Amino acid sequence: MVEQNRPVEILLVEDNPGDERLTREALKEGKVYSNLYWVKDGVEAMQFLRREGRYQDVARPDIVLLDLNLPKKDGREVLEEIKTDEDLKRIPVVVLTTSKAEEDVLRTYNLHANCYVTKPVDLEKFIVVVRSIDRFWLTVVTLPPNGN
Amino acid sequence: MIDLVESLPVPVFIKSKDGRYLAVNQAWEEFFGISRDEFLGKSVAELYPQNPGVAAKHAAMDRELWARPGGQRYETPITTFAGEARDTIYYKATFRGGDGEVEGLVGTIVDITARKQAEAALRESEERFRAVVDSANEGILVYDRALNIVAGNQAAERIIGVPLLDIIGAAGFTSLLPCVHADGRTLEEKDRPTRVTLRTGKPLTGYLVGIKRRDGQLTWLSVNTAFLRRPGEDDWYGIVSTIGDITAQRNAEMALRESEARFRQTFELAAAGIAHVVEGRFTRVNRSLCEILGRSEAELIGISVKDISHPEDRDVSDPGRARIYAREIDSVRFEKRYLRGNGAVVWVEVVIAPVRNEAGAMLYEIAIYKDITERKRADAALEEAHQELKRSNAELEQFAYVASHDLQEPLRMVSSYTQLVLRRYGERLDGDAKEFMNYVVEGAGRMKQLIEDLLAYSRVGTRGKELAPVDLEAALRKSLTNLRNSIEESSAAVTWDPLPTVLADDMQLAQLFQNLIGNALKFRAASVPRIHVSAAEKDSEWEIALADNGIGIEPQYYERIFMVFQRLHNKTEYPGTGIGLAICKKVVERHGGRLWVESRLGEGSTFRFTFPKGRAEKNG
Repeated sequence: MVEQNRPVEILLVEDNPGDERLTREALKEGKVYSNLYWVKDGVEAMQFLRREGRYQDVARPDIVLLDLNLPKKDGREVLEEIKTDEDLKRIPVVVLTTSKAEEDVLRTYNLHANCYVTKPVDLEKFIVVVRSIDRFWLTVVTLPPNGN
Repeated sequence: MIDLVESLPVPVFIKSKDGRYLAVNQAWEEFFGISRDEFLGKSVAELYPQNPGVAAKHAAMDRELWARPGGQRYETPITTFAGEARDTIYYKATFRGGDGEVEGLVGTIVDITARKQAEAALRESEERFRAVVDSANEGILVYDRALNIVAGNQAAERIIGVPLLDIIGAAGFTSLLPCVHADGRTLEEKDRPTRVTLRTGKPLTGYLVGIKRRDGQLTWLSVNTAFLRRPGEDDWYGIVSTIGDITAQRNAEMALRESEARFRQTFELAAAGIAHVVEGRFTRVNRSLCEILGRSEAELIGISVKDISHPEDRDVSDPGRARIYAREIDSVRFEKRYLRGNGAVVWVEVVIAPVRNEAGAMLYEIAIYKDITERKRADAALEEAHQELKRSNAELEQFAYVASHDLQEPLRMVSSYTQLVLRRYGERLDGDAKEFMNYVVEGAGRMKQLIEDLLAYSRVGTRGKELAPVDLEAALRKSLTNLRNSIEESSAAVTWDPLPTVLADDMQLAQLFQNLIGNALKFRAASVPRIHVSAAEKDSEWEIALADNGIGIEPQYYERIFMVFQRLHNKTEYPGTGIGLAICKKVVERHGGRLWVESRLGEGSTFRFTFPKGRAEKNG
């Protein structure tokens, strides 16, 4: 195991408080020390990532967990903006989808999410998903460090 | 006597018994063109050494006279000394001397050259006339005052079909054979051309008579008659009639009249509207067209076709008609709208063709109209219904998609938090509470599966790929790969015959096989599952059969098994939501085929589905 000097900064873009809480609970059971930031829509997500308005002092996320169905600006648009932004495009994005069908829709837009995860109904499976994000992180930390 | 002779206006000569000229008169000198001195004392032979035949003839005639004294007359051609040929009659008589002995002969010449020429001319004229009569195309018959035929020509024989020998002497040619009037009535004796001529006292022209020839042919004759009169006489001595065979002409006329009548009838009674159009204007219209356009014949004749066309369709026919005029095409067909008399719109299918004269010049356009308003209305209604159906189908699929998608969110909350409670506080709950909460989780799981299946079902229509040639065998192999675990687990034997290539969505095709084979494995009997796939080529489609040796299905469920979420068994026996075969049916139908089952309970089932053939061959 790689030694962890600082917490993993995670941005969760999710409008459902139930899911936010579940994610937090699942992370608790994981091995990675993390800070979870939560925004409820796509507009806020972009402000957070670009450190605009009230997000001027936030940390740059190491990873974005992005739900697709969001108010104001949906996940597809957020993903597109991240991936076309020179400064942001190297931040890994894990897209959380509600169904396999949704994933297909997204693929047809040819947007390069790093990973697609279908939110399981089963809590156990959800925990497995979050753990896989752990593992994912442990792989990416060997890559060039956070530009911050 | 000599003086008398000298003064006679006719040429006179006196010859001695030895044939020498003793005297000639002045008329003689003038006739032959030389003086009497040349004649006197000479014989004919001496005078005409160049023509011994004439001299010999005169000498011979002279000898006869000497042998039988008296008078003599004979004709002979002579030549004057000026070289003129003359026809003459010689009158000669002997005279006696005082002793009563024959001393010589006296003779005169009558010049009959003019008469001979007139006779020859008449003969020639008669022969010419005879030739004309004989070679005439028309029959010519000559009747006497008793109206019996006294002469006829060869054409008469040919036309009447009776030998001229039998015609001559008959009381008119119409007495020889049965004859009829133009209207078919029998021609009575009083109606014979000559009788009519006689009765009316006027010549006939174009008197029509039909005769039934001996060869059975009805021949139509046009008869002209005329009275024959001698010059200077008022009374007639006969009648001449000319007979023309007009059978061919009359038949052609009748045929034309019949064809015209038939055309008129066809034109008027045709169910289709018909018009003749000249320079864009109606020149002739039939009843049906009047009905289609809701206008009377009087209203239509002369008006411009474009003026009663729907404003948007005025020029629809122009390109096609231009091509007809350019002789590129023989006819053109198009659909356009007209305005009826009451302003209503009528949809018409029109075919236009040119009518040209023999020289190829355009006479008029013939246009045939068919009222297709009803069809257009039906087409529009059908199209509308089709669009409506497509819209409602799309809406339904969209609805199924959105509904099933949005249903998952709350479901996940129910399920996840129930599980979280169990995980965190499970130890503090009693057995009943745990059991109840497990039912909540299980129910949520089943609901999730139902939603996913519904989503998959709706996606057959919304997420299908374009159809392309697909090897059925490849699709089958792919499905077997996906089912590898179940096949190994059940030791199933899956076999297949060569399978065709069809036009399909390869993913859906693999899913079709996967669902059907998966079903066969799931509903297997006690024995080892055997599954065989075969294909049969039909006229326009391929029929694929997938036969198993499973538990089989009772006939009353043949339809039900293909309906969404319809199950025949309880979930503990055979798990599943009952979507598999419904998806199969939807996939096959999306490809234009049919899916059905044939089965016997306890013996196995054969699922059959079809794929249209033509489309695959056309594209593949």
